[in-house]
Amino acid sequence: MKLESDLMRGAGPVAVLKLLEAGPKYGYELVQALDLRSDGVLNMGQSTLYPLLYNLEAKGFIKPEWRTAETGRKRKYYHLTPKGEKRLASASDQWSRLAAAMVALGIVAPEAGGK
Amino acid sequence: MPTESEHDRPAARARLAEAYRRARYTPLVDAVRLRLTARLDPRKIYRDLPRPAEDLVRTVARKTRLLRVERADVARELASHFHEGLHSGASPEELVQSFGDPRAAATLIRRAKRRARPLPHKLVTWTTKSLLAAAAVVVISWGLLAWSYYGSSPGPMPDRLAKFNARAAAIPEEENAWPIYLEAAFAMQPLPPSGGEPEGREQRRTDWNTLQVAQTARPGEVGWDLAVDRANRNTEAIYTIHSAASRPRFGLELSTDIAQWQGDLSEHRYGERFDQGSGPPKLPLVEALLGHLGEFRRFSYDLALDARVAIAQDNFERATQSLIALQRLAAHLDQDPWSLSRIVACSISETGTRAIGESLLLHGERFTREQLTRIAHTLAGWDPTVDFENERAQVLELIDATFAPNGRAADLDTLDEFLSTYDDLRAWTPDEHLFEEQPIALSIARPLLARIIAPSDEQIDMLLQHTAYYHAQAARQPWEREPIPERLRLEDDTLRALRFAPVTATGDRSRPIDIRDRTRLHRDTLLTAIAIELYRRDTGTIPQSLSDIPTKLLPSPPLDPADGQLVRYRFAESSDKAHVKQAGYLLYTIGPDLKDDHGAPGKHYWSVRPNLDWSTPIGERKPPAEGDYPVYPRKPGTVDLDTAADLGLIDPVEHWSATDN
Repeated sequence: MKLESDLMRGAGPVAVLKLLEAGPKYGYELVQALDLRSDGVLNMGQSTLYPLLYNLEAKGFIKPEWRTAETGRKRKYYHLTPKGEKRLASASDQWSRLAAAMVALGIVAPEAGGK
Repeated sequence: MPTESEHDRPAARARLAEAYRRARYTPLVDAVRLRLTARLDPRKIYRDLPRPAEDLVRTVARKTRLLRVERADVARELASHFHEGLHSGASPEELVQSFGDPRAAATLIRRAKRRARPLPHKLVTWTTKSLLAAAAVVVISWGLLAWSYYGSSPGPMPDRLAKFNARAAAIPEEENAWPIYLEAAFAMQPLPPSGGEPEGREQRRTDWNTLQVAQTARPGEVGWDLAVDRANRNTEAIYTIHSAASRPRFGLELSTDIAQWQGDLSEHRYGERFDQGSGPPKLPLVEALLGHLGEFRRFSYDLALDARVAIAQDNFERATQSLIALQRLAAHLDQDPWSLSRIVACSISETGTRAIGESLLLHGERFTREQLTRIAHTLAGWDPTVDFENERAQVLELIDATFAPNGRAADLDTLDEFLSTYDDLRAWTPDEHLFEEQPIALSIARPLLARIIAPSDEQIDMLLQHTAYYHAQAARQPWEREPIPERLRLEDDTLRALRFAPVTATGDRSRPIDIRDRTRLHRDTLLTAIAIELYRRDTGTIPQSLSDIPTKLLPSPPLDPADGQLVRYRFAESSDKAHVKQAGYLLYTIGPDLKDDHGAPGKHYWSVRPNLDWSTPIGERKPPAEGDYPVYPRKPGTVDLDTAADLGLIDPVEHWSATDN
């Protein structure tokens, strides 16, 4: 199941920042990782991902860098900036509180809400 | 067999093509660093990409409408994405399918990329856009103003000249002096000094210069023979002037075309007619030709000259008649409602008072009591007029001719012509025409200027207030006048002066008042001098003070225009100049510095200033002219030696070397 676009607009950037927390990733890798790790829920087409990446870049949360892969192909890797790390921490906190509130309201099952 | 150079040719062509390709696809930022990266080359970007994927990437990149470098970066990244997908086993169609809506992607990418642009880039963009927007606003505003200005035109005008002429036309023939003056003008004989007979304009100039010299010549001096000759030749003409001057009214009707009489007179005198006017007048009151003023000037010089010659010939009756005619000449011109005519009337009166004063000083005792009394009555019988009726009418006519019925200025060129007509009478404007010097630049400025200039109703309101103030000041005694209120001060502030240019166009209105005051002062002190002469004849001595003169000789002693006290009067002293000693006394005003300097003339000696050079506005005589203004007796005038040398009456070489030394 995919998220509605409004929800995706809120969740997508945090998800991308979270994935980049583990290390730099390029666009295709991010699409795959989002699909895989969110069980398809956060599967977004490239038409959504790349504008999202450019937005995060414009806000200074991530920074791109062209590198040459072992295959010889060039890839544009994105890595988290210190500003992006702060943003991720703040967003994670807000999402946790939101999830807790959803659980408390019975919208989200406790096991799905994490804590 | 191909030569070596023919082998090299394709290689050279290929190198050239490669260099061109690199130059073409290298962004400026790289080129500045002297690196021909060719990183914008699409062949590099889309290399090995299947057709559907390449089409999609190209479409997205193109639709972003970003800068070339930004588009290439997006395309490169998307191409990389597809390469990765293909490498991981997906088909091109699957990848295209999973990409999503390319149009939406392009829109979102454009938005994000623009947001990511560096601040200097944003500043340049915003500045450029702001400037373009401002330019657009200016162009549109100017277009609206131009549409309003060039689309409107002045409405119909009443014939104000006809209204003024109607007064002259209503004068009965037997009272009208003008036809007799004209007869005298035709009877006057021009008198070239010596040598051949000059013609046309040259003759006109020589004739005028001769008159200038003759009218100031004294017996035994340079030019005296000329004066005697001229007076004797023109005896009949002078009597005709006396006859004209004795008529009560002056009834000349003015025209904007050269009048028949002017053409005829010029042909009669110099064998040359004036050019005719060019087309219908825009401003009839301004363009009305005042050719009679020149004739009246000539009459005044001929009368002064004639009086002097008559005295020399012991003909005091003829001298008296000429001196009286001089004052009547001024009084006639004063009936002419034109301000310039009234200024010339004052100037002629000055010529008269100077001539009478000089005659009284040098030959006073030889005039009969009856002759002196007639002269005094003539002097007392005219008081120069100051009103601004004609100026008001001229400005109203100007407003009619230059403002549209909606009240906005619609013909600045006519306004400019009007301003230039009065250029020398105005203190505030530049000497040049507003539009003559920079026609193109000022063509653009016209619609804007038309908005800056106050609308016609404000102009008229200001005009009425302005003239009312000056009219009120003219009616007051000089020492009781008030400075002009701030709201009516137009000349000090350039913008206000421009806004109300039509109101101030006719010049400083304090000038006619000042000239009138001076004329009146000279007249009144001359009347006092005549009364003193008669007193001397009655008592054998001159009075101790002006209050000692009986009222039958002097109904009221003149007041000093500086402070309203009696005009200062003292006996001559040994240190005085010869002419003061000859009179035995001095009449003087203490002047604007309000300090009695015992009659010692200051730097700005009032009576020697030219008539049309009295421009200090009321209440602003700063710094106050030091010293006093002696008004009677005045030092007898002398011949202008430059003119005399020019005419060959004295040796020019000797004169100029004396002048140089």
